Amino acid sequence: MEFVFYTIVVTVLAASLGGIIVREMFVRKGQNPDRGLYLGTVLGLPGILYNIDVGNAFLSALVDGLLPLAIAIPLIAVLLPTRALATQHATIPFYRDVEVLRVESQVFFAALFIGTLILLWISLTGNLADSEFALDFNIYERRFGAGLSEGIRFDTDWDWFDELGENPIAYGTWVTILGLVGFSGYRYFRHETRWIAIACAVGAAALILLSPIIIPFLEDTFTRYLQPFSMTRAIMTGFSNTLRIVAVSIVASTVVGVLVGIGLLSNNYLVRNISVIFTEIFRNTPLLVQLILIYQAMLIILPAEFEGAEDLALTSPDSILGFTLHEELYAFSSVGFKHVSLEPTQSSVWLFGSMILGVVVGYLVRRYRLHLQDTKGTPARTWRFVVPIFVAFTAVGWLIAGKAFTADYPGVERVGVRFEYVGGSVISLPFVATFIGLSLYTAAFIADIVRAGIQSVPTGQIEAARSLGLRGGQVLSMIVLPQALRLIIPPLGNQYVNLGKNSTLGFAIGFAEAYTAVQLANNESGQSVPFFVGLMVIYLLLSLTLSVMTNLVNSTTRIRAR
Amino acid sequence: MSDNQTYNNIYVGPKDPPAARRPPASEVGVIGWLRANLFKSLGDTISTILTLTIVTVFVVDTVSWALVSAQWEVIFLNLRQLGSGPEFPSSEVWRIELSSYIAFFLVFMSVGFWGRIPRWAMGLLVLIGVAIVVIPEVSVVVEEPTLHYFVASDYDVRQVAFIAEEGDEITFSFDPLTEDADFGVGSFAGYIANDNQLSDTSWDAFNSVSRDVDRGLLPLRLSDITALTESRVFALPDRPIYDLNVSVAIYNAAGELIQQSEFTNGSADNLVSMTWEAPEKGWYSFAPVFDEDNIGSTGIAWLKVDDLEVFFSTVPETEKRVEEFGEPPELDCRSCATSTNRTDLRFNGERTVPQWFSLQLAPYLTAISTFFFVTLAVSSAGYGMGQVAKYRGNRKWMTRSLVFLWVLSLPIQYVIVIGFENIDDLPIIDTADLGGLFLTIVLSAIGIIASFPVGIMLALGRQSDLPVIKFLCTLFIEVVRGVPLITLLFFGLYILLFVVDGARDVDRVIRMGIVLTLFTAAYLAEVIRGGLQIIPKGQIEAAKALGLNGFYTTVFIVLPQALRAVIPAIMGQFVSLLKDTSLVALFGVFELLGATRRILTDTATGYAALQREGYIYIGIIYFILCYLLAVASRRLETTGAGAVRRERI
Repeated sequence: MEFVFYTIVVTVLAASLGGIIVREMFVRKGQNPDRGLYLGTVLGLPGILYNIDVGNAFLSALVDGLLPLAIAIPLIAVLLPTRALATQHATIPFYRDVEVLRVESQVFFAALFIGTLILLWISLTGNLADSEFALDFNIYERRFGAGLSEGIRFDTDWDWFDELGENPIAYGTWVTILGLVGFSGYRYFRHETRWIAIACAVGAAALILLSPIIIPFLEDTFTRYLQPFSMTRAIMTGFSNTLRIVAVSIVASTVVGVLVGIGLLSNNYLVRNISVIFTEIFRNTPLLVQLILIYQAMLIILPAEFEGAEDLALTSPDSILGFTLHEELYAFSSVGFKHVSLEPTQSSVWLFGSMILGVVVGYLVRRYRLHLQDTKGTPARTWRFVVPIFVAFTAVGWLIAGKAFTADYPGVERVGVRFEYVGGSVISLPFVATFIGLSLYTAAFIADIVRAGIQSVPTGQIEAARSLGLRGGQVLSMIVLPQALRLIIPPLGNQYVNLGKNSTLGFAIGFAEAYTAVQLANNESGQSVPFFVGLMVIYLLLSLTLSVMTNLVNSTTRIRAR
Repeated sequence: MSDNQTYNNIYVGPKDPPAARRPPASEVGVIGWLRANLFKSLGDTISTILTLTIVTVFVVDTVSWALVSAQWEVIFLNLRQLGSGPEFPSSEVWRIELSSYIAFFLVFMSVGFWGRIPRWAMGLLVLIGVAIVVIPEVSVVVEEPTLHYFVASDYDVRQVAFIAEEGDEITFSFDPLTEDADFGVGSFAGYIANDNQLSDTSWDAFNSVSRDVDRGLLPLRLSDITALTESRVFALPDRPIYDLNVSVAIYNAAGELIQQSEFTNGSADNLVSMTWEAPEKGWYSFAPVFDEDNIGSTGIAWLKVDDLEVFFSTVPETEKRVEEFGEPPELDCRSCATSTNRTDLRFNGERTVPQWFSLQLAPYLTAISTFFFVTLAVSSAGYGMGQVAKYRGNRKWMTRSLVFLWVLSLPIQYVIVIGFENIDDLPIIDTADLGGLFLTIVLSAIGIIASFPVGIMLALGRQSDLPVIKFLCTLFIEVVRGVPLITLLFFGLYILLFVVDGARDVDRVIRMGIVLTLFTAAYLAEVIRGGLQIIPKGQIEAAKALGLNGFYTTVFIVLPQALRAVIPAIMGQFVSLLKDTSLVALFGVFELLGATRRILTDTATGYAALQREGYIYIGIIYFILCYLLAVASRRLETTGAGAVRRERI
């Protein structure tokens, strides 16, 4: 370990010394002295890296650190074209020259930082090699022994890309989606959000139209219990679960948060105080305690899997779980939320197509009505036109499609002495508990943000709107919220990022999200370092994605400078 | 001028306006308030009724559960574990108590010196004190419940030890479980065995049951039944054949048979019962005895025991009995109850409110009374001294001595809790043994104090003109803020011990503390940066003009103003850290949440069915702590140092 320390010291000294010498050279030639310092900095860093593998004595470090610098710096410094210096200020000694001290201190810190990192890395790999878990980044390809309770399978026996490649429509979908994403990204950096909105709309329409093909794919791959093939695939499965919970929780927490936030400012005594109690309770208790409490309470309160199963042994299997089979839409038990699943058939394309057409026609009609309002003064009354148009198009599509969905009801079948659930879909109890906990916790914070945003709108705005004859709902939706949104959205984005990070707590109640998968993989292999790197990458990406999306929305609500 | 009077040319409104000018009755008083606040418009009325319905249903359900069927003994029997952690040696708990008294004294002295306690809070404390004294005194005496002992032919015989005074009459009777009504909630819900795992129900339990049904093997095993108790109504597919031939035997402390009842002879109508009078004061035991010839008999029954003194089989409760009655008998069986265990006698959901007061609230209040009153006395003394210092003393000198006291108390507290080598009364305590609420508060307090300098350095570094330093600080802050805390704790648990040589010996409590500190520092840095940004440029320019260098400008001009402005935000960070300490429970540290998890999942005590009670209780504790901090932060925002300064800027 000692030689690394010497190397750092020597390199820092060398870089400083070399920089100062070259600076003096430049100053005497009447040229810009900064160039020499920067060169010293730049060359000092590779000097450290160069020294790592060489010998472990002070002398070799000295030679290795000093020689390249001593040769390279003056050479390059002299060869580079320079600008003549306007003023001569060679009189300040270097140890009091602010310019020198600035650069030198930075070199020192950079060298210290990189040196410390190297030191720690060497210590880490050494200690790991001494223990039974030598560092091995190939661990990701290793077999994953444990199972995950739910998620999408990324398995070799069902390879997404192979199958998609054979199916021209699905292939086209992927190409379209990727193209739209690329296009949106390009436009995002050019600050043209309108095009992104259109691209998203087109992408959503394409997805909806192709859902009869895509949904069965997903249904096939989503299972209750699965054993992923490798560590990578296990973590991918976990990450897909994280994305699921984050997506639904963001929607739910926003809806609840906005409602409670408006409730915080309500004139109604009861509503206001209930909102206050809600926010205070959920903000001031740890999310982890909330999640565990919700999960355990549900486990105890909800009926067990086979409540009333004595009927099964005595009577026909049509009356289990207190309802008649093949007609019930949902059932709540300690296993999770079972519900009927609707599978779109091939003909549902007609229904979806006409619904999209209805939206497009409705939008055009709305524009026309607004145009009329602007030019002739007739009230636009857009909703009176848009809603019937959409309903009519949907109805026509429904009629054309015939049987657009096949319903699959949840039920129980007896197989020998065992009982198996058949049909329907299940949302697991850990998912439901994580969803409820995350949504309510985040909603409490969002409510406070919404309250602050609404309160920031000047009272004069509301009074002016009132005096123009707008009703309460209109004032809120047309005057207050658009102005409040500008203040609401940036902290709202922070909350979404927090939600994404908090989703890891599902681990505590056995929800198979990304952290759970990583923890299982770590328990199995003991390779904590590669998995830690993986975790960092996953969650930094998630945080980054969520904040970019918020910025995107934010740029649409910003006041445009004229 | 008839209605109005003029005093010195000042107009005063009429004292009693005429009826015509009075507001209508619907606009004033209770009705007026209701109309204005609850039923202003149609939408208002609808939302009132909707909210009221939801709240009523929720509150009624929760309260009736909490007062009728919840079993809060999981709290008051485990207060020591919740307070100082399950690993902390019970003989040393006084050190943690002493340490918290010192902390309370200093906290309330500071509150008395810099602020004041609102009247309502004082009133609340007095009220709690009165309740602690009064409620255990007036609570009704509840008769000892009937002990339900489960007798089954294929279930291990458990000998149960008990205590009796001379002349105590105890009644034993068999109740065969043959009637339909016996299998409802009422019968089974009274009994939850020690090895019960409610969370492990359903599939496996059911399958084993149904397989037995298929093979005609009856009765059910105890674990099958108890797994399906409480909310799980379970009726047998078929009535078991009852031909148990069993009697009950009583043994004395030496293990000699004293008395045995007659056998039931396999008849469900033969309700054998026996009344036994204790010959002398001491320990006894009873157990069902099966007839040797008839060992294959089937059937299940309750052995009901009346008038038996039952107690919680915790160490202190048992020790109390051992002192009075001598050593309990050695029980010769595979799974014996060493005492009459109250966990076997859970209430079956039918408890009156007076019973709740005497069985649930009173023991809790008794358990906390000593700590509460000592704390109250110490806090009052501290508060009084603080108030005296505020109004009588030299403010500057007092401030300095208070800060000095705080600084002095830290090493003293450390020695008290962790111990010192040369003091025999204070043996060294391993940090790994710390836990409970104490550890939660210590972790968050140390976290916020230790992260403060780091946070300031990071914030200044991020504001720096030097690109390298700025880059490094930004990198650290953004990476730490971008990943979940649990990921960093993962680093602390699995990687940190390999990174630094010798870190392997460092206990995981300390490693978690380091991670929490660095995590908080990154967030604190952003908070402080916000404060730095509001400092007007003119302040720095003025400092420069006066000849202060960069260091002095930062320390004497920028930081004091910036930090004062963000005091409320720092308090918010403190609240958030307090909540985040709960995460270390996932990594084997027994702080408040970890201790609770440990208690609730411990199979030996059988609290698995009491998850709700345990987590609700610690939820309330967390809420009180965080809410108090939040309130204090809000007061600082409006009236505190930060607000005053901000006006001046």
